[in-house]
Amino acid sequence: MTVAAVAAAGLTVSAAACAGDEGDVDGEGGGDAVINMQIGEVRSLIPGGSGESEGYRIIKNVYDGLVYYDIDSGEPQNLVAEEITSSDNQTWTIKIKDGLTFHNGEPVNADAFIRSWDRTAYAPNVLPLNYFFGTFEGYAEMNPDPLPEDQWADPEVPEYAPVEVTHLSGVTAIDDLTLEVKLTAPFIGFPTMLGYEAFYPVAEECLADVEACERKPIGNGPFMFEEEYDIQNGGSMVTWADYPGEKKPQIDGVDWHVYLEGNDCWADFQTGDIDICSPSAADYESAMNNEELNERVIQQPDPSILMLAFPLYDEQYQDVRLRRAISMAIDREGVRNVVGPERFTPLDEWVPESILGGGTNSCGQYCTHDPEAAQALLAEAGGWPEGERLRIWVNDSADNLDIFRAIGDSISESLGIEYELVPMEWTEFLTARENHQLDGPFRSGWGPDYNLNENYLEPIYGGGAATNDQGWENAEYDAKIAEAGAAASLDEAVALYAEAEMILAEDMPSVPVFGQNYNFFYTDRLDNVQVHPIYAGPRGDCELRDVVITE
Amino acid sequence: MGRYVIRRLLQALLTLGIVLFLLHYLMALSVQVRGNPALLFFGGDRTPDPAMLAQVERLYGLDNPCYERTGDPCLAPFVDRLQNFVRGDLGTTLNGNRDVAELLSIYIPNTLRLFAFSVITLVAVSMVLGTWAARHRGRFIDHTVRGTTILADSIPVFLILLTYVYIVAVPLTRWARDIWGTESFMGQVFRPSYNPDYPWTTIIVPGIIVGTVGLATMTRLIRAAQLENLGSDFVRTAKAKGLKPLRITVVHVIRNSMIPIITGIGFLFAFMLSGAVLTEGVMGIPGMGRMIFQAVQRQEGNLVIVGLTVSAFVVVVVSLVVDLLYAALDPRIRYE
Repeated sequence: MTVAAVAAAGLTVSAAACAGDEGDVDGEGGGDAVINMQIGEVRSLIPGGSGESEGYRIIKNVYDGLVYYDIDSGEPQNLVAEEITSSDNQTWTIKIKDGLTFHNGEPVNADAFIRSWDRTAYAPNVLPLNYFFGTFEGYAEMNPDPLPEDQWADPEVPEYAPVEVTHLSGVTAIDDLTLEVKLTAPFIGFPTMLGYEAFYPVAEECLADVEACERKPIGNGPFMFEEEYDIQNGGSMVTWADYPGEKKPQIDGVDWHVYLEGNDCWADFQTGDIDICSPSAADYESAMNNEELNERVIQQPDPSILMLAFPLYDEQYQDVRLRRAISMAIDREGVRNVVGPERFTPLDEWVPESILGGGTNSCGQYCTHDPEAAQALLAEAGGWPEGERLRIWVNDSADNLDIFRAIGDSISESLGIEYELVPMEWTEFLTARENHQLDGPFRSGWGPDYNLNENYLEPIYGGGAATNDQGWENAEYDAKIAEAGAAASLDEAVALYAEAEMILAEDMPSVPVFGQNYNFFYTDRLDNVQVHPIYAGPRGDCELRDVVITE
Repeated sequence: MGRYVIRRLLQALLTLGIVLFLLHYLMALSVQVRGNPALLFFGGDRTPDPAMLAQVERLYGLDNPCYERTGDPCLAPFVDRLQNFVRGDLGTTLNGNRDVAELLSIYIPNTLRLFAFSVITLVAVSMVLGTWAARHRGRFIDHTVRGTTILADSIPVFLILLTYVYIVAVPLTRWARDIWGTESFMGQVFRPSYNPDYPWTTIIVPGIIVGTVGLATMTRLIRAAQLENLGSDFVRTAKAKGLKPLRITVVHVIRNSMIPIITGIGFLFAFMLSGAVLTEGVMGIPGMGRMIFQAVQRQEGNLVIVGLTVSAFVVVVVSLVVDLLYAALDPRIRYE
């Protein structure tokens, strides 16, 4: 009974309309100027260990990184860093501002960063953000390849030599406040990466007792925990009175209220217990129709994108004209109207507009719905095999099925071919996708790690045909990516990455379908609510360094 | 009596052993068929470095080659697991590397509080209604009670929950807060979701909702048991002695009707666990039911095994206690 009932419950949740008007929502949660925020499950509160949106929402406020991303342009601006320079984009010198400390009084110096980076890069620590150090010199020694196959005890289980290197050799402290980082190849976007959690400093006391530090992080940012944070019950963050940064928060603290999977903050938002919340698709309409509420909504593009990728390792999908035909067969507007017009925007590029270097419209006509042209292209490519179905592979969350059914219907209608949706459980889907076992187009989604178009290009399509999910490889593309990494300025690099995106567009290993949108409502006690264009929690978030409580 | 308890405890151990093995085998099959859960550690969208993947597999004991052979019962990892359990090491979760024993220490009290309120609701409401119906047998009240309880029972618990959370709770909370203020008991008790700052207050309503599971069964059980006793010789004797009706009901009828009621609570307990999965899920209570459901979804094999073993353990213990209570309630029952 339980599983079926829960599934039914899920459906009813999304179908239930919310009742009640929004007349007197006043946040009455905690003390004075304390904001009540929803949060999901946090994986870790120590830099390098989270790698998901929720942990990062806390970490980015408890810690100050070398750079912070400007709310308007998204470009990195120095925060803890005084200066980040390089003459060849490969050896970088980072100067740290003088006099900064952690909450416990320890200095924020070169060692604080080295300590943190070594911990994350060290393979036996198995931290989720380990891969961020893949471009550093010395990473290979800390993350060795398996031993030769003939030395394995069991032929199916790879074995490794013990890892003795505990320090990234590419990172050295020139003096107390100067770091030198050597990369294995030039990468102009390096300073852009540095605002991300993986590169935050860590205090010595934190690593001395990692478990205690997970519960009560020791940061160097504007907020701190006085009591322990609990993954199930949340916790309270207060403003650090001695914060040396230029921009001190306007609020006294933050109460984090936990909503784990499947739980929705909307009802609590209506009672005033939560200050910022994103309604589910079903509640969205009644919220927008409420005159008082719709004045307090933030709608802006979320940099997460949704794509339909092709298995280029499959015979049938070799012809680019077929791939283009399928893309042109998708009525993105129509599909959007079916699955919730406010949640998505049709996408005709591989890097969304909100990202540095995005908004190229690189897909152009091939991402425009044109059934006749699509049929013509399909005919040129040799037509669709008689009686065969187009199999679209997705992982089976309820929303995905709805979205891809609408996409499939659209393709089917435009091209006159039958399709079949093959839902798979998440891990099964991941394994099959990675091992190149799919025989049709499949779902591919991406959210950025940092604000640079490179992040939408290299991690998804790089690495060669054997490595990436699409099985795509193009020497020209790889050369362009390398060239961009070695560019003299960031502007130049962004332009070169955009050129790489055009090469990608020519080959179309995947088709862009939708960009996503944030729809965050906030209570009337808040002012100056800003949502970060790159990093925002999907279910309601704002910049805690900027928000003001009016009441 | 002592020998009976020992025999039952040994049986319980055997049952738990079988449950553990079945769970382990099913989880092993799941890994063999569905794919490697270690990939989840990396979030899913990226291809992890093989060295990192191997590290994670080793960390969670997924590196045994038996996980590659579909149908292999993976006996070696099973023995390892048992040894760890005996040592008191319940392992960690795949996502977040959290200590399972620590998780249980958070989840179990929440579920216990939920169950406390639901058992109180179930017993109190069904006792009153059942007794009332029995005393007015065949008349309007009897039919009304039967009709209402069956109606309450036939509405699925998730519907009651969703109606409450999405339609009733918000206006009710706002109304109560206007009158009594936010921090008051009334200002908190109707909240649409659980709040750890008010661990008792905000669990009352969900507890009452879970308590409606099996209300009709229980009421009718009580009614039938009491009718049987009402017609018995000792009640007729008591009436003939001129005892007051209240004393007859409480001392002679209710006590003697307890056996079927205790049995009923025993098996409704297992039933309520399924109600707890839904209630804890919808109202955001970090409890055992929700933990097991999410663990299944996320392929947290270890968490599933530990969680279900705990619930199997509870069911075994409750049924043992029920059997022992029989002897306490009815002097005619002896265990040899």
